[in-house]
Amino acid sequence: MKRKKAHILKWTLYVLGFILVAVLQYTPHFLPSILSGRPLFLIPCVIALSMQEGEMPGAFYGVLAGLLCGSLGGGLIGFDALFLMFFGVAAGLLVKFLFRNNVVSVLIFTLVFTFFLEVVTWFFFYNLYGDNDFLFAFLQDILPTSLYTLLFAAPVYWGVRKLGSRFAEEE
Amino acid sequence: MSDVREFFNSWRFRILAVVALLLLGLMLHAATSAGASVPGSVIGVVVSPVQKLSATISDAATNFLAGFTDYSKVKKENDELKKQMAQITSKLVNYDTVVQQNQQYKSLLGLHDENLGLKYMPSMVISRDPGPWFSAFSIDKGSLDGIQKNDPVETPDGLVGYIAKVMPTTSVVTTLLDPSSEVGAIISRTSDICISQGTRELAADGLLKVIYIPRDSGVSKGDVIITSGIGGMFPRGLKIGTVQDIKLDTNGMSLYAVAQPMVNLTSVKSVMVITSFKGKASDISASASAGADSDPSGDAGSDGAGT
Repeated sequence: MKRKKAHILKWTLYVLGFILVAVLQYTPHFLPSILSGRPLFLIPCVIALSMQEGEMPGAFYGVLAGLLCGSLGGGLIGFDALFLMFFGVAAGLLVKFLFRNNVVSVLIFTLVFTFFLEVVTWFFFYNLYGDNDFLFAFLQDILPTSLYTLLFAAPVYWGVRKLGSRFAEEE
Repeated sequence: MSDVREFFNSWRFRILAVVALLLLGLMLHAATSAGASVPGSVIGVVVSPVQKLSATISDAATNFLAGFTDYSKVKKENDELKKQMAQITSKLVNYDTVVQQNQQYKSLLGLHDENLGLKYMPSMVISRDPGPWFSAFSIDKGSLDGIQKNDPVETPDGLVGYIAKVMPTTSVVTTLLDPSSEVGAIISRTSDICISQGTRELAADGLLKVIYIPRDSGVSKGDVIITSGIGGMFPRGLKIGTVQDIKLDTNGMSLYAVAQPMVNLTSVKSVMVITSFKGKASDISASASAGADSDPSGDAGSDGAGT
């Protein structure tokens, strides 16, 4: 019974944590922008959770994070969810088969996945509407956003790891 | 490697594939339908109170810190405002006389003041698009408050943008900086009809492009650009911005101007949605290209996508 309670509490805390992080990500003036770049906290959250809990929880929390992005950010609902689900699966599988579960891995995944999502977003929402200046987008938004997000990868990883390992003892 | 193959043959992979297909369907539905999707609306209703609280705390902290960090900026602004006030005061000397004369002429000619019938819904900015150029933000009012898609959004300083998406308790505002925003405009002093549009290059500096200004126009720096009201999406006379620079268009047929919006669109914290006004078009297409109706050359037009 105690084990079940701890189990429910852990997943509930993850959900609440994701909602809080999503709200902060979209709160005006919460953090200053660097050029046009602002941090996307939810990406390292999905990656860290997937590394800690496995690819399936990572995938479903990726969907949750993506739906939060689509709803709070006013974007195309489902777009971010699809990619964040993919990031959750990819991070979980990579840690299982190829990478070690450590802070270096989370830094690499965060940089690569954020960069990838930013490029895809630029392609679908700007390039397809006639914007061909990739260099401008790269310097003004894609690179600053990727590096800015990277700053938060390690603290998020340690936070999720601590929470996960605390409940692992009880489970 | 066999473990990876095992994953792709497992029931877990099949579940994920189904979820991915559902998300793809949801995305296509959201992209093709005019309104907000059901999951987006549900999340919006649940999370908007937390967003509102977060935005209030963030605004309070920003305002508190700005008092210390922006001291030199505030002082400079104060000096400039004092100068402006002195100039306005000197202009006000004849103001009462002019108003009185104006009233007399109006009564002589039988003219009446125009009633634009504006109805406002005050709203608070609760979230911002962390994507490029601050082209969108969310407000804490939605369809339950009488807000409709394409309603104009302004502050007492001037026009901000329009409602792009409506959910029950929140709405998404696309600002004038967005490349899909086109607003039918008039240069107030010269009465030249033109179009204000967002471009990505200028949006990075918080500026707008004003196109199709006649080549023989007497437009000059500092001229105020206002909405033309043509097309019925925006009421006439809302201030858009001031002209900063004027250049010849690449086609050589017309001029274009770079304008500074009246409102700082990257830091606006509260706005007013104009829910009703005289002359409002009852059926504005989802394109939201207000300028299309007022395009003097007849070929304006982005389709309002890409926010």
